[in-house]
Amino acid sequence: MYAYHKDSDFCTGCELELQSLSKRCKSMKTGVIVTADGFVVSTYGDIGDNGNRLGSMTSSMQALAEAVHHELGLAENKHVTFASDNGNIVMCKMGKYPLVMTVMFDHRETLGQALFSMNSAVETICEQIGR
Amino acid sequence: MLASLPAEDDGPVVDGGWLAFVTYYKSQVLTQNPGGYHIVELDGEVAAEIDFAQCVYKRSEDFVERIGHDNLVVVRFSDTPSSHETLAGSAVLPTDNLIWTAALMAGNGSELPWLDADKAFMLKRWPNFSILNHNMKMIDMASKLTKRPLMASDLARETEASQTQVWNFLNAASLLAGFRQLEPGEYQVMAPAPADPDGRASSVSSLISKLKLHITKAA
Amino acid sequence: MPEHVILVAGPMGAGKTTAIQSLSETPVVSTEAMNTETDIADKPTTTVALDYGEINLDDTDKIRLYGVPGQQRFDFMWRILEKRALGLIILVNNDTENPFEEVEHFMKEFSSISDRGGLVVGVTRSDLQAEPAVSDYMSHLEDLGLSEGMPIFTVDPRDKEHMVTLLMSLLTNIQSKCERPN
Repeated sequence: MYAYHKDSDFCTGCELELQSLSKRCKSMKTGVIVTADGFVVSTYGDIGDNGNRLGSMTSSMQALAEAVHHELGLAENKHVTFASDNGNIVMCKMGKYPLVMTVMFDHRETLGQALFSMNSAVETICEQIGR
Repeated sequence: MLASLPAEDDGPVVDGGWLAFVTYYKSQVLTQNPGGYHIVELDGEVAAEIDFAQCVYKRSEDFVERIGHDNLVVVRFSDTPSSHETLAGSAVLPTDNLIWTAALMAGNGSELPWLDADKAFMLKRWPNFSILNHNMKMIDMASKLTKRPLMASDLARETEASQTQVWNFLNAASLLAGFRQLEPGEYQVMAPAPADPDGRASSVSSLISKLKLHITKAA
Repeated sequence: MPEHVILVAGPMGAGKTTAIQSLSETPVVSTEAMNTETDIADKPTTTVALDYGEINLDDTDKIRLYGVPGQQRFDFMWRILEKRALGLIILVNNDTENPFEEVEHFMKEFSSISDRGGLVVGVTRSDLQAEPAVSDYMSHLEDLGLSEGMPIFTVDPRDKEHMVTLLMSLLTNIQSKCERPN
């Protein structure tokens, strides 16, 4: 499988897209893009450990979500959401590519707006890969 | 240590029952044998071939059905592998498997000559059961003997195994590295196991019984 | 229903997922993702959360089998799953670069399970790489004071009989330890 996290140009592109997302969504606190097997491609914001831990957890959560979908006969998982009183975390699969984007928003962002903004960022990155 | 390789025309190196076979191999260190093959005949017919250099053996398809306590076992040395059709295309197994099987047969339910029924035994290492013929009783016995020294009678009582089962196991285990026969002064006789205050041992025991039954049903 | 949790751990490529598939009587829940570390293990996917299988003993008892990811970066899953585990099977592939170190590493990481329960080691892929032999593992761990009557077998994780033998040995060892904790 292609090791996206080892492609420096791709990583830079993803970093720029995360920054662009943060400008569109002022409530965005942190973000990370990871490979399906948990390697960090790029990060945004103050994440400890260069995002490695969050990257691995993202990979695990995404895979668990897919397992639940499969168990319940649902179509492929698109995103996973964690909600709390002071913010939400959204994990989005990046189209057909083995990549996942995870973003943490504070309480100002509605879930719908968060998903809309993230989907836009995901589409942009997927188009880059497709080229 | 093997003193010297027999020659092909020296006659059989083993000619007797499984006791003769095991006694011969007990005195050898197979991995240090520089080469050669031992052709094993059971009741006059070729049944297996041991390749020392590789520590493996081949056996006839009906080998398992043919082995029994009363086999006449003859082993002949050969410089070259056998071209006997019985062994053509047969699976290759570790020699430990053959020696273990032979030792299970050799005593026929009693202790082999180098074991003393008045002594205690201990295993420093588990037998590699994946490559050895085994059953649940043997697993149980290995588990007990790797924890503390036991005499054969104690082992039988603690595992609810028969004397035959215990001696067959001890005979086979006695050929393994890590097997020890202990003099009375070399170990402390331990008191019976204390009562099971948190019920954990009973719980695991029940689990094992259910799993055994489950596996038997599924087989 | 009382639950009995058995964990299967070990380095990437040791055969943990395969072992659970061999033992489980229900379809195994897998969490596989595309593998970017084919230099470490030449396989297309790798477990990133857990594998889950079951052995249903009767109406009241089942054994739950959990396979954990082998890579250190997923060790948070190890911590979550080890809390409920009765015993641990460590699988190590004999053709890995440092098999002894791998066994030591996982014994250390899961020391809480081996302290309260039991531990067995299964050496896989010995058909591809014969050395080190099981006796070498035993000698190495004995030198470190780590083996203490621990079963170490060569196993093929695809072989149900091998895996059942390993599981039975683990449970029997746990029982013996419960009977005489010291």
